[in-house]
Amino acid sequence: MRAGRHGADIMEAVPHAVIEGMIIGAYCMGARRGFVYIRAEYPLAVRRLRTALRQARERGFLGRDILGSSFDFEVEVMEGAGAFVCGEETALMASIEGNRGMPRSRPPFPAQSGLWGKPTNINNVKTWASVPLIIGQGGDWFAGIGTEKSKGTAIFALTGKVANSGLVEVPMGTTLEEIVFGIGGGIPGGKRIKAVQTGGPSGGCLPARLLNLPVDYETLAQAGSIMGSGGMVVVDEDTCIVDLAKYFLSFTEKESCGKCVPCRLGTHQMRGILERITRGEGKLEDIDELLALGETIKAAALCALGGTAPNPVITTIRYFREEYEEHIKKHHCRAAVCAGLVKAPCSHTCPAGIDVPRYVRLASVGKFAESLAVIREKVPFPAVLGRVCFHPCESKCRRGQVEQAVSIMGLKRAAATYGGESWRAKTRVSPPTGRQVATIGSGPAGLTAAYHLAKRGHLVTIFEAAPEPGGMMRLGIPAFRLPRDVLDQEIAEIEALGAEIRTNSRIDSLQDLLRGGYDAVFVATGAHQGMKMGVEGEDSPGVIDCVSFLRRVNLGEELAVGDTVVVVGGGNAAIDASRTALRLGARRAKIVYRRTRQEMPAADEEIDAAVAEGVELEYLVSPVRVTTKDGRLSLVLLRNELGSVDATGRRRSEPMPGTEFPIACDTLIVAIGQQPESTARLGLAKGRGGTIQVDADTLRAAGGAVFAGGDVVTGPASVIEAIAAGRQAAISIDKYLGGDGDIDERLAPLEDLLDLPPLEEGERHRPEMPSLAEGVLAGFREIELGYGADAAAYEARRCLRCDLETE
Amino acid sequence: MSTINLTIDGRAIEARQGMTVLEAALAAGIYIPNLCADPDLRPFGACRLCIVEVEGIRGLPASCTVPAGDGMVVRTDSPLLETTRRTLVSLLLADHADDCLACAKNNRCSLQTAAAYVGVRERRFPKATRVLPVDDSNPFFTYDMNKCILCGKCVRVCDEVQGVGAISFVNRGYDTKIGTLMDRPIISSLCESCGQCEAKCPVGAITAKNYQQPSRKVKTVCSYCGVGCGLLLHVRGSKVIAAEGDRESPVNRGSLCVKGRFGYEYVNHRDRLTRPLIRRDGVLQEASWDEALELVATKLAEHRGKFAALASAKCTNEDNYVLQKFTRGVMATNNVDHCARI
Ligand SMILES: Cc1cc2nc3c(=O)[nH]c(=O)nc-3n(C[C@H](O)[C@H](O)[C@H](O)COP(=O)(O)OP(=O)(O)OC[C@H]3O[C@@H](n4cnc5c(N)ncnc54)[C@H](O)[C@@H]3O)c2cc1C
Ligand code: SF4
Ligand code: SF4
Ligand code: SF4
Ligand code: SF4
Repeated sequence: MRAGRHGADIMEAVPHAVIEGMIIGAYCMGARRGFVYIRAEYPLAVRRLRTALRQARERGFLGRDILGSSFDFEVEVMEGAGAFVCGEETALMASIEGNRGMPRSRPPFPAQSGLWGKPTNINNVKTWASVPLIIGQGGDWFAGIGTEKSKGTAIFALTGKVANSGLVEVPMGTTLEEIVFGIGGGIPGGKRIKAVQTGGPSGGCLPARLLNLPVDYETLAQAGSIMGSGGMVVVDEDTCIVDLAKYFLSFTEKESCGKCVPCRLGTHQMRGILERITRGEGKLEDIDELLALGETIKAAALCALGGTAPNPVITTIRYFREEYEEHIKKHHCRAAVCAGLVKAPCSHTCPAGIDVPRYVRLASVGKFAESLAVIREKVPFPAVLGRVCFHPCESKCRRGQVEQAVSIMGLKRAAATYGGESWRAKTRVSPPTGRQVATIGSGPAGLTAAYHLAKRGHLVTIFEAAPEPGGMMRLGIPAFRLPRDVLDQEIAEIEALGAEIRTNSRIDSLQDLLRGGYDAVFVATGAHQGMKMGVEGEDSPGVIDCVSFLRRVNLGEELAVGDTVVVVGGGNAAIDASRTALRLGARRAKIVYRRTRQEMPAADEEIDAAVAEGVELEYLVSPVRVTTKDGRLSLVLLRNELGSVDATGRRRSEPMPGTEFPIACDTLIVAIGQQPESTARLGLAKGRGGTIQVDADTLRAAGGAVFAGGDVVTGPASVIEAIAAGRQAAISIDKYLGGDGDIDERLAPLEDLLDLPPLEEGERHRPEMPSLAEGVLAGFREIELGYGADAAAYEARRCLRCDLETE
Repeated sequence: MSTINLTIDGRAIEARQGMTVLEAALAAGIYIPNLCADPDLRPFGACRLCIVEVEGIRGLPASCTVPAGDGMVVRTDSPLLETTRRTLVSLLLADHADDCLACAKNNRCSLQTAAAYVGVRERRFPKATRVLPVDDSNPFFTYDMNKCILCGKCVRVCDEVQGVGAISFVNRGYDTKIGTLMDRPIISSLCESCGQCEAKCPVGAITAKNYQQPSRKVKTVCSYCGVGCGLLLHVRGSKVIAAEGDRESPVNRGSLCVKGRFGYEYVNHRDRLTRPLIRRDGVLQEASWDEALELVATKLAEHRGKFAALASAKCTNEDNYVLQKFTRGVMATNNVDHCARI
């Protein structure tokens, strides 16, 4: 019998049950000697077991002629040195015999020739501890627990990014979800779950979307994992999947007994490949080599340690291949973990690769002009981003592990505010190339591409359907978050470089443009079509989709919304719509969302701001139908409960029948998402949800001279991702037109790193963002005021300078 | 002993009960590459090169550890087996010091044979960068673990055949290697320097010092002791350059002790007597065999009854028997003794 961690727990808690089970088993089999093999690292379990054995002997349950039955049985405790491989039965026996813990081939099986050549039966602690219960309550009782094929319970050591960790015993067939979210209490820190590794270091890594899998032997095996040693490690979005696979494989590599070639050397080579991938030295073929090696090891290893060692790698490739490819092709680690790729987590996570630590450091010594120049090296929208960026960088900021993340966005705004215009002197504009580029759409993607292409000497024309440029920055984002003069100013800089913007110019044919003399076209038309709820009555007067609503308001229309406005949805658009509605005179604005705040895609700060302005939120409800009576709308809702987890790691809502209830309103705004307007006319390959399909690396759409990027390719995303797409498009188009695609520039001098003020030690909190006290009453005036220069420098000194860290 | 019938690669094979699948195949002339199997040692199953497909058995079992069974259907070759073996050999090659031309085992190396047989034609994995210290402490052989493939033959022969147990696997995982207790130099271990490990090592990890390949081998019997181990002396020209245990000798079946294996140099030693010497005027002087025998016979006759014989463990039983018979019957005395008693 063997005992790992959960075995040790059983032995600490109910050693008598284990001994009783062994006595019963021995009696049935006619065994006379029993051993408990337990790792010496569990001294408490050893002590309690020894006490229980002594008690059993004293009462005559062990020893000679047990209770006058003429049956003899003795149990000895063997303390192992903690080799993982000694969980393998033949290695375990070798260890008890005093030999090196090395497996041997079976046959002969232990039941034929085991310990010292005698027939031997080996079982887990949990099995033995169950025997008295089964004998007492009957086999039917036991078979009633669990599933058809996997009977009884499973015990897991639940650890990782989960609120409650510890040992968990559940009936076989319980879903991963119930274990992680029900018992484990979900993921702490508002992070998303990414995967669950079951079966310990040689188990498999299952993605969040498989959380509804029932835990039993067959299902786990089908998904590429195992029950194994009962480990269950929950990982969230801050875990790199390649790093995780490397971690587990390094463990088995070290714990291999070293006997057979595939396990000893195969795991070593696999770890080496993973090591290279996480350093950015991987090749695409490496993924296939990992799989090939994995299969060889699985097929040829002598024992189960080797036979399962590749599982974490094989399953992570199966479920997270794109993350491997990102490491290899883009040297990008989305969790910002792999030290060899990640200079600083913030700049690594920034889609446009802004050198965050550098501009933060410059701000920390009050050099805002240089700080702004550093931002400008990558993006033409510092002031916009300083106000509305979703700042994915901050979610990975190391300072966030101390108190709060550095306000990377707030410092961008400070740089834009206090940085003046000296950056402009250094921008380089190449001589004219005589090539012409058309950009369709003047959102952040189109404008960014135009900016860089103009600087590369190309003649750029931006065609915009709307009467004013800026895309969603103007048509979607309300002025109280992004004042129009700020936006106008940054767009003007782009025009100043020679890019021409033609508003009210909708483009419906690419061919016309190409025939009209343009050498390349960048399609960046965004996602402007509101999605439908698909319920009865949705076309009633008073129901409006969010994008149209904001667009009309943002283009200056004085919309009457009435007294009560209800917004359906949970994203930033829904928040913006509700806050806009309050500013248009609504007395109540209520957001109804089908899941809970935890799953809401809207940014936390935005939700807080809306709540502060009086927006009400109703969670776990779904629209069923809209009715109109006496000119008032009534939205009928159905209550939901949270169900299984979806592909994004969020829990689905599941309606509860019979819980319908109505709410009355004057205007109903539908903000459940946008998609690109029909792009069919442009004649480009279509992707999911009306998007355009492009080559992920170059953004080239089918047809040599046409490129596409931003929301029209990704679906609704963010300003910074659109900017990143604009940058990539500029690089690809410049190369296509014969340039070298080098759009980077150095606008700020290199820092003198010897002249840095010392790092601030100790706790230091992020200063509060000053904002207008009037809230809604301020109308469309900007709410947030930005840091003062001193507060900004203070905040910047919280940066830990991850990029300067030497290993 | 009963025979069993099985099918290997479509051929009907007869095998003896108790044979492994590998033994049955080899006996029938079907080659399966292998590195750690050895007829003198217990099955081990470490190198995994002898994997086969067996109907009714999951995965790829190592034929050296699968007992041949009646009615078994075995395949020794398939695309899966081939690629798996090639991967295994490639893994070994990546971890093996590249020194073939200067290696004592060049042309006699099982790894070379295996690589050639499975057809490794490229360097698939990056070369190991670690360098393990070479143990040169033993006067007769050298341990260079940079070439070890961990077949375990040395450990097993030392334990199973020699009964010494001087060496074992030490460390775990990739760091596993062959070593002594507390990883001390081999000369300070329990090792008896018998060289059995050197003889079994299929690669250049354990090699006799200054080894050269012979131009021929001469079958003989070891002259050191009465056991009479069969020897194959390796000879170049007229010079003995090494000794090998004769596996065909029923006495030692290939095993040798330190003297038999490494104590051959006296044969060529310049101090070795090749002619009889007779002391004349206080000085030992060369003489002819006739002279010498004549002298011994005369002296023996003079000493009848005043004589003692001391026999040697280096002589065979027959020699020692004749000596005591001569002493009692001819020299008329019971003063007979033997070196091993002193
Ligand atoms: C209400 C709302 C709030 C948001 N808040 C934020 C935020 O706070 N932070 C953030 O980072 N992101 C936010 N976003 C998302 C962000 O605005 C978008 O992801 C981003 O603007 C997409 O940029 P883009 O250049 O791809 O497209 P867009 O900005 O949508 O620009 C596309 C432009 O193309 C024009 N166009 C379309 N078709 C044609 C045609 N055939 N011919 C000519 N022109 C055409 C459109 O009129 C539009 O101006 C928000 C979005 C919305 C809807
Ligand atoms: S698979 Fe690994 S642990 Fe198992 S025998 Fe082979 S080397 Fe040892
Ligand atoms: S502490 Fe500074 S360098 Fe590190 S992630 Fe945060 S902002 Fe970036
Ligand atoms: S020389 Fe003989 S005793 Fe020494 S390690 Fe080798 S086999 Fe063992
Ligand atoms: S030293 Fe030679 S015999 Fe010993 S394990 Fe290594 S390769 Fe095998």
